[in-house]
Amino acid sequence: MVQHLIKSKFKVQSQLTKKLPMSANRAGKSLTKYKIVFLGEQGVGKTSLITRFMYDTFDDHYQATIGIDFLSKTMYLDDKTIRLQLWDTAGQERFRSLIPSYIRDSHVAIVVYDVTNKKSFEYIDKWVEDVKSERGEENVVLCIVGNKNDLSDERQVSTEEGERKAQVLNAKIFIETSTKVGFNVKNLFRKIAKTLPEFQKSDSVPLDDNATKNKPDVIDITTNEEQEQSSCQC
Amino acid sequence: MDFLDYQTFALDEANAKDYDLPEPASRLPIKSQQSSKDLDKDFSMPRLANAELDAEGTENLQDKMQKYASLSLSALSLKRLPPQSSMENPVVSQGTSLGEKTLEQLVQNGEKTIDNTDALLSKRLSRILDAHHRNTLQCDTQLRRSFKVLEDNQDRLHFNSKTLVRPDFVGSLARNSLRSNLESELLKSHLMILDDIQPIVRRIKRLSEPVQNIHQMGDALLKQGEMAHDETKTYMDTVYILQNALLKHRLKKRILVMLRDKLTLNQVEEDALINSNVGPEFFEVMKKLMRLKETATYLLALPNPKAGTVLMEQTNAKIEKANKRIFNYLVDFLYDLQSASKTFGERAFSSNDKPLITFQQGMLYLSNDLPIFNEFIKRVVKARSQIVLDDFLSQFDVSSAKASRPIIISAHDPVRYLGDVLAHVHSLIVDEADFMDSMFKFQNWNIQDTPTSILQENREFLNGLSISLLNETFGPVENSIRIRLEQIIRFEDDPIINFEIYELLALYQMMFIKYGLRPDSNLILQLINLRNTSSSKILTGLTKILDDANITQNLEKELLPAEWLVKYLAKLCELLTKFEKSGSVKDSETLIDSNFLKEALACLITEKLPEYHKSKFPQARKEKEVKKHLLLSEINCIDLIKTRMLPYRETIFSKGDRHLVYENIDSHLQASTKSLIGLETKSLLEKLGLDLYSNLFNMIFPVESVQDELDYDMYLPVLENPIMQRDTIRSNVHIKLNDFLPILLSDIQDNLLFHIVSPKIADHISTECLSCLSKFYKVFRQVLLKLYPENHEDIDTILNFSEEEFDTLIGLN
Repeated sequence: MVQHLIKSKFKVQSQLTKKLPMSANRAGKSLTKYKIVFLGEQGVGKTSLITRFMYDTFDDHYQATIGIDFLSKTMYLDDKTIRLQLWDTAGQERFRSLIPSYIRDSHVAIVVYDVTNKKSFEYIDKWVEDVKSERGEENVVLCIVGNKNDLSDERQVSTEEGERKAQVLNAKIFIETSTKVGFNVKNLFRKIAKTLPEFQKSDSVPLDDNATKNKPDVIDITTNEEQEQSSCQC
Repeated sequence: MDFLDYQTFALDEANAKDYDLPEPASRLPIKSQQSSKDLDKDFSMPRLANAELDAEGTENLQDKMQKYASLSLSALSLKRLPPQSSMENPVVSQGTSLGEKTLEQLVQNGEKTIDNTDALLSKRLSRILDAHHRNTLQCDTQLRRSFKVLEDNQDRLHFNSKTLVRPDFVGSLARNSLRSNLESELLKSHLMILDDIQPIVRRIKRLSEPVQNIHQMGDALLKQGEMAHDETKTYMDTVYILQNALLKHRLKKRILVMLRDKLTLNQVEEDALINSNVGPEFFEVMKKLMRLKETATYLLALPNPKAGTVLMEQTNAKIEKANKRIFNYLVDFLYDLQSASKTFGERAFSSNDKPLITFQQGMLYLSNDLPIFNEFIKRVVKARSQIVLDDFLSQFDVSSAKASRPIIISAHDPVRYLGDVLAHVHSLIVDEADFMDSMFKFQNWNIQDTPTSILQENREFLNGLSISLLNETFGPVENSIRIRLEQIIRFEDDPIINFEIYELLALYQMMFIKYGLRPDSNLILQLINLRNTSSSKILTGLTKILDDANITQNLEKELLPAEWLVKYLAKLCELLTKFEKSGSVKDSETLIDSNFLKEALACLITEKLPEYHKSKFPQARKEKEVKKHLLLSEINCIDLIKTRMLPYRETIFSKGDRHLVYENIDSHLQASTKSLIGLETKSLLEKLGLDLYSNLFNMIFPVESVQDELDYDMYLPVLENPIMQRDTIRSNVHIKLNDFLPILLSDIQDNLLFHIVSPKIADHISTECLSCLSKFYKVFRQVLLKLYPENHEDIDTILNFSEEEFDTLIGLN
């Protein structure tokens, strides 16, 4: 429902923006922000994932995150601009109490595990439970990411296991990445972007869309432009 | 145009024109000059005007030419050719031998005489060419060019080059024809030139008369000038003076024009300043104004600063007006942005957006006018603060239709509520920092062509503008945030929750500073205040547990630690465990320092426990047994405290001077134990009837300090005391000793050790008591044996247990 509301809001905005007067040209472009929260056990590579995405670099030296880190990146997709706000949580136990407050208003939750660490994989259930208790089942795009994919000799969790878990937990995206070699990281964010209401095809509109259209106080100004397949240009 | 006269180069030596021509080197050994000469000499071309040619039957040129040719041939046939040496010219000889033949035959044989003719022609050509060779190469080139021209105009002049070079009559005819053609062409050309020149000539003729007049007048003037030479000199001086004056005026004009261009705005610029939109054109004018201002400052340094002052005043007035325009533009821009954000949601600019660049450029120029700039900053802060405040408060609006869930106070989890509030503030700060960076960060902006004065004066300030704006934006919001946080913190008494709040505030304080808030900003100061409140409430909360427990009211009969103490210690341990896990144990300046521990533990031991025991054992001062119970309870309580603090001995209590607190607990425990040992020993001696003797002996020398037998001698004076009589000793000690000694051990266990929680301490107390008893018994017995050396048997009957037996009975062996 929330997704639908966001989508409807965006449609209204995009339509109105096209009809802005001259003075409004200097008011910049429309920008929608999406909060993405990174969850997972300590040392699974949450910060590395963000660093690879943001700066395309990898630091061998491990440094634990203190509290919650924040980074943001603007993505240009077709003629739309979105801003991804990346909230990097600390895996340490003593910072756990902070995390629910950040899941509370996030649009995407990325639960990261280490494919060479079975325990981190087992803890996914707990993280997903936290996400669902804060955001419910439908109001969040849940992604499960198996990191350190390049360490094939030390692998403890198979890809199939990960996929099964993602299915069981009803995660929208499952992907294995390697932040060290930069494998699948951009692909992950591309997939995430495609799941966001702003870039979804019109055929993926929630089922209750018709009901909304019939409401007397809702004016449907959607056009077929939204149906265009977007391609990531980040 | 030069004509090449073929005939000129004839071999006629008599020709006067050819005298000057040098004889060319005879390349061909032509010896037939004479014959040729004779031929030429005797032969004359028949006149074309001859009547025979005009006869009938000669209508066309062809017929005429035919007739002309036949006439010529007939004329030729009439003459006899001179005899020729066959050796010299066989061809001609041959021809001569045929002198009688008809001209037709001669013509027919002409072909055969061609060699002879060629030889003649060769000679002529060689003359021509040699003549040209003797001239310069230029002539040769000219000749070539002439031939080239001829060749090019072949069609126009209607000649055949082969015919032209024929030595015979046809060739001559062709050459003449060519010559006439060329002359005709030349004439045409000359006529054309004359036609062209004719108007010029006419004009010259017309002007010749005025020119002549001018000449005459000039001559006349010159004559006059010679006459008035002095006057001319005067005039010339005047002219020079005037010329100098003119030069000066020109220079002056140039300087003034340059000054005007440099120190004033032209009309277009003035118009742009007043009427044009704020944009590149406007900023160009502003740039010029800034430069004018700079120049004006230099002018102020002149001896007469009037020009500088006036220029400065004028420039300042213009800049002021322009700044007001910029201010209005910036405010409009801001309101447009705000209104668009409200209507269409978040807005964003790319770094190369023209409106954004204009906005930033406007800011840059406005920064030179501090009052207006500050006013604009105030507007920005006000607008942004309002947005931030609205966003912050919307999170608490339960009825809001927003997608995100509202922050609701959860009674059982105040830390979560505070966490939600602070997390939202955190997201507001990062959002705002993002916005400020995009709008007000000038570091990466190309400001190279901006006047230096702006950069020099304002660079540092402008570079930090985004940060200061962020801090100022959160200034007005700080109060609302504080209220939301304070309403929880103020009413929270649980020390554990307060500690979690304290840690949470510390963490967010660190994160807020990381994302741009200054450590001295209002919000951070408020967080520090709230931290202090929560930290003070931790200790208050702990104390409150003790106060609420009514330690003087709910007294229990057992000597075990009180319920309130157990609860208090449980809370304290929970707190210390959280503190241990928080990772701030190693910090020197931390919440749980030695003072905190002193307050939480030392005061408990020195104040609360004595107060509790005083209430519980009011008769302790009077009754030994009660006193003993008091000490037992005290030992149990302090031992409990020590035991609960033991896990933290190597962590919390090992840093700084916190170890003193733990040592203090230990010393209190030892002191209580020692008191109990003393009291119990005294009690046992009393039960054995040895208390009087113990007092007596200790008055002389402490029994505990006795080392060997020599020390016994110090007790010999006790013999003077009547209680040291054998009978008295028998009556005081013997019966009690025999009655009580066998049950002494069980008595201690029942009355003392049973009440002590810690077996270690119980064992220590019993051992110490019995050791003291054993030592005194030994000293007492040995001293008596020394005092009564002759009555050893009697002494053995009074103190009928040997030292070993005594120790065995009290369980020391």
